[in-house]
Amino acid sequence: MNRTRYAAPLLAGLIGMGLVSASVADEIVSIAFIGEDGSDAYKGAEMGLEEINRAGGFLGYEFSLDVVASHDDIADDAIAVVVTSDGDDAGSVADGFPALAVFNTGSDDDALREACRDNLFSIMPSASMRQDALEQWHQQADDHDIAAVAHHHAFRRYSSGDLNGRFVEAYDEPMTERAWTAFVALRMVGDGVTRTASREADTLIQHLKDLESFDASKGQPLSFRENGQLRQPLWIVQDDSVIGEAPVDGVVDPDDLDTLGNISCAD
Amino acid sequence: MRIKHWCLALGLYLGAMVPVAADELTGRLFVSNEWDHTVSVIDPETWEVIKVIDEIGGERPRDMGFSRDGTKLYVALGISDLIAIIDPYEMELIETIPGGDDPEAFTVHPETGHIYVSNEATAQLMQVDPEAGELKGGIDVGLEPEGVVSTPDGSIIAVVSESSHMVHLITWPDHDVVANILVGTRPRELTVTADGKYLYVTSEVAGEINIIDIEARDIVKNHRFSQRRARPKDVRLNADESLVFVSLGRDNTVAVLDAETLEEVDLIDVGDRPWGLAMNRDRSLLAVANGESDDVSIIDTETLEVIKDIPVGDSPWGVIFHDYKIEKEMAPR
Repeated sequence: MNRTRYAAPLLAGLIGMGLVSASVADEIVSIAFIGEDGSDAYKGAEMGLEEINRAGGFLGYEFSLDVVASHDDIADDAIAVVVTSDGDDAGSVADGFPALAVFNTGSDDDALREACRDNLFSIMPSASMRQDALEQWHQQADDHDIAAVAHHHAFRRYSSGDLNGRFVEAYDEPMTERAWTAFVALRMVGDGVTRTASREADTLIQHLKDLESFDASKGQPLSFRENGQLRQPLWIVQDDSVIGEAPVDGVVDPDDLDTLGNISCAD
Repeated sequence: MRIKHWCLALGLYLGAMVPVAADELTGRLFVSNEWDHTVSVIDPETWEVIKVIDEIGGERPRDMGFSRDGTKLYVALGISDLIAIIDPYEMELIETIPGGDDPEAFTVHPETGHIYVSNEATAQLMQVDPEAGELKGGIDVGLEPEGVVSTPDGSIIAVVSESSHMVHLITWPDHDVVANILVGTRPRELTVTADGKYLYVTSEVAGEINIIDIEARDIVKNHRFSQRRARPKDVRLNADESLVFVSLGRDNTVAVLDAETLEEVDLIDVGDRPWGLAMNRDRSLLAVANGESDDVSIIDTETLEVIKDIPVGDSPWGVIFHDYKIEKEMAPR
């Protein structure tokens, strides 16, 4: 297990100044990461960890990211699990650990969403979301070699430029979609813990279900669907640059994020 | 047609030649154009653009402010890591000084005249001595710091961090971060009442405005805008502090709220994506930078009507009237 801690010096300083009581800072919030150390997803999660420790440090919270080979190694004190696989592992982890918040950051399988697990939150867009985004765009123009993605390294609107800049600064490489989804998962845990002032997994799960305005540098307040999928706009990419946004203005209501993908549960 | 052009040319010429004593203020409206890297200068009588300052010493001009005596205009140049110092009379660049890493928004401290500027990329509030042209040091704050304001007596500097969703209260002169108050998602800007007791803070993604009691270090009032496209950005109070004006970005409006209850009084249609706001000295006029329609709207704060739309450069970000000096006990305009 590789436990990464960032805020320790800052927190120690705050404790030293008497701003944070040692008892509060003692309890580190543990987030498990099932994936490859050094992968794009790991880098995204690591940057997310650094950022939630910076914000959390002001309020007396510290987080750790624990890379595990499989769900068998998830620590007892974990409150959330990031599953980076592109298969259906996230579903079995969610079933196996019903008390923990489980993030799917790698799979776009619609079946994972339609099962509507209570504790599974998909940051990666579903295949049906990508498909709908591209269908909306097809009515527009030349559509050779286009894709619909959750994040793109060359996008700069809505503070994405700042986010991409931070990633390049840290890793000297562009932030991929998989890096972004894992990053968002970490930010969601940090945001949830500091906003609810609770380290409990069930409070975090409820907080995620009730989310109204999560900020992921996409210009819109984001929330989860009933099926656990993150409602989000997608970027239309061609020749490695962003040429449009979906929902596509002029085709559908650009603010209606539910025009992308399947939104319900399988009966 | 020709005569009209000739008259206009003469008018511009005379306008440019009328001497302004160095201790007087010009009343001109300055506009930072974020993506063509220029500053437009607008005459407050004719509302014509009398000059576009092309040479500003760097790229991505955003927030602006004046030196305490009003003789120098400071412009944060984000891409260039600089602050431009511009002569507001000659409308020319004097020099550039360091602004830290990615300087965005700032306040000029009423006691020292030092610039406290948010350094977006490094999550610091940087203190800059503009006379010496040097960085004095950074104060660690949350991620993507943006709006900065000082209480009129200078004792507290408040800065928001967009990506950590906090308002940080920092004491002056000790620079101690004494409070970190969680607000709605993506706080952008803030202003302070003349008595230095309350902050008004916008949260862009949450679509909210909060009133913070500085002494209690807590939120005392919250309003969520009902407009689905509302993305609150800048905020200003009118002269008697009975009304608060909020630019709503994507909603293409400026909201007018009761400053005490935060109930909506009016919604004024302006250009596309209004961001930066500025009041003139007596706060009878509010200027609005419309980032996506590339113009500035002028609002009469009594009638709540737009009296003028003025085309400017590419993506206007901020606006400021050159008609007041920074004095102690004065609320931001």
